[in-house]
Amino acid sequence: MLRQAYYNILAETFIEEMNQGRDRLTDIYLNINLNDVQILNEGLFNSLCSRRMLFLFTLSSSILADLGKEQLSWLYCITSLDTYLTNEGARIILLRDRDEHSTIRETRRLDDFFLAQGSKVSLFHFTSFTTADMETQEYDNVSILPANFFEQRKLQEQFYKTVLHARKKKLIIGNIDFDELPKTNDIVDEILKETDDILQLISLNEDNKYERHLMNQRADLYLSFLTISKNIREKEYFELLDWYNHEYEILPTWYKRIGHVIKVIMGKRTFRSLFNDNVKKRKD
Amino acid sequence: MNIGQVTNRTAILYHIFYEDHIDAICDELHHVVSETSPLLLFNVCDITPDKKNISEKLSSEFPGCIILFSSNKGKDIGGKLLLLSVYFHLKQPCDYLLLLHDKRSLQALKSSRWKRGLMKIIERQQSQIIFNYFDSHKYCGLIAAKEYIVNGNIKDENSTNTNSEKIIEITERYKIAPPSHQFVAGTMFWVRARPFEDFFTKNDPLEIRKSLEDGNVLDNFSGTFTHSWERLFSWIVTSGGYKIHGI
Repeated sequence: MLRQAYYNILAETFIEEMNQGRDRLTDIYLNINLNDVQILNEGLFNSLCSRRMLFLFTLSSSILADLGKEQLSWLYCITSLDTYLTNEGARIILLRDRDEHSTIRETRRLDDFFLAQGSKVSLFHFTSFTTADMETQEYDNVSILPANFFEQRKLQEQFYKTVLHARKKKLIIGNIDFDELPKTNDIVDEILKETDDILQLISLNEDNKYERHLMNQRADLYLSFLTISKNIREKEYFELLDWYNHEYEILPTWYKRIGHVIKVIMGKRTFRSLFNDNVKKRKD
Repeated sequence: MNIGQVTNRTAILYHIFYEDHIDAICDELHHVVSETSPLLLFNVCDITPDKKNISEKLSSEFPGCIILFSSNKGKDIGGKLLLLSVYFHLKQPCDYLLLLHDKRSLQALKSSRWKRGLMKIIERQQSQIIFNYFDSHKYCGLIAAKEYIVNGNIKDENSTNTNSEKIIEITERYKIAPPSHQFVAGTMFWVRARPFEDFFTKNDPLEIRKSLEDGNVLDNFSGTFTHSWERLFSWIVTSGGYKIHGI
């Protein structure tokens, strides 16, 4: 189950890991913390492409404010990678700060940029919790867990309840002390030792409902193609008929009759058919 | 084809919309990929079902390829503009670009013949012939299937072109003045990277993509920016003094 956890890592650390060719980041999902706009470049893009690991971004409000056109463009391209986390087609970006006016203005800018490209972005606030007894927050498709979620209750029981809950909710964002979780594997331990940050995200978006929705949408599309196809062929038919009426029917009768005589001479029509409608016209 | 490699002579930009076409795509691409070792970029439309399997298949068949998922904006033209944006962002310049998509045009009577005809350009050993032609004809900027190189007048009394007004608007805005109205119907061709670089470094592909229509637009009844850009892709090349060659 923990294979579906997104481990928090600074963008610089991630690139450094990749450049040094270490393979401890294999098979895990990453929540990449962008703390400098300049990191949005081909180096980050290439590193993400080369390992094909599932990932998402966390941004701070200061980063949002610093995003120029070039960086917005990079952010759009990188979040378009097939390995980026999406929920029902929307790219998920986490924000580290909350309730700041500037954040609202800047997130709107981000929203607008993505919308202009026909894409949706889901922004979730992801802060370090300080209140020990904070309740789990429920949104449409996201649950945010308090910092001491796993301390409060019996670990194993609650963990599996959480997993069940996540299956219904698709996504859980949590601030979890990993020391409290069952041991996973050496890779996770090693990362945790090296990174002080223990913010974690658990994503369990295995729900197939959206995929079924896409399939239904596709079936509707094929049906609409049939209707459009019929309309287009009708249009083409009437255009052809108009052309016939304009270009052929307006010709004088004597001209058309000469045409039929030429057909007989060329052997394409029987001579008898010129005088009798009941006779077969076309020669085989 | 590896990321970071700077010696690719070709970049292949492939837009995918249909969910049941992936095996055919892999089959038709294998030999052109082995012949050219390209920088390989795919864009799969967001609303295509089964995208996960499509990307798994592509990454296993073509290790090192770049796969994007993006919105259904501007159909294949919008997808290609995003791929061009990524290509230019990556700063791995190639000599030639090959633009492809899984064309089906279900509304058209001759759609399968149209697709087959356009795909002539990636038949076995065709790439070497194309490279040789480009090398020996320095004013050749674009190579496509000759039966789909058409001369579409923008505006004349008998024209039924629904896109005329939009084409005029775009050509004026982007100062594109082609010597003729010849273009590749279907937007699948080999193109010299240079004229595209000249144009798209001045005009951000994502900015252009913004202006394209959402969804599966058709131009049979009214004009669209998407279909207008289909012509502009060819005219970017010809307005730079290059010619179109048919095979």
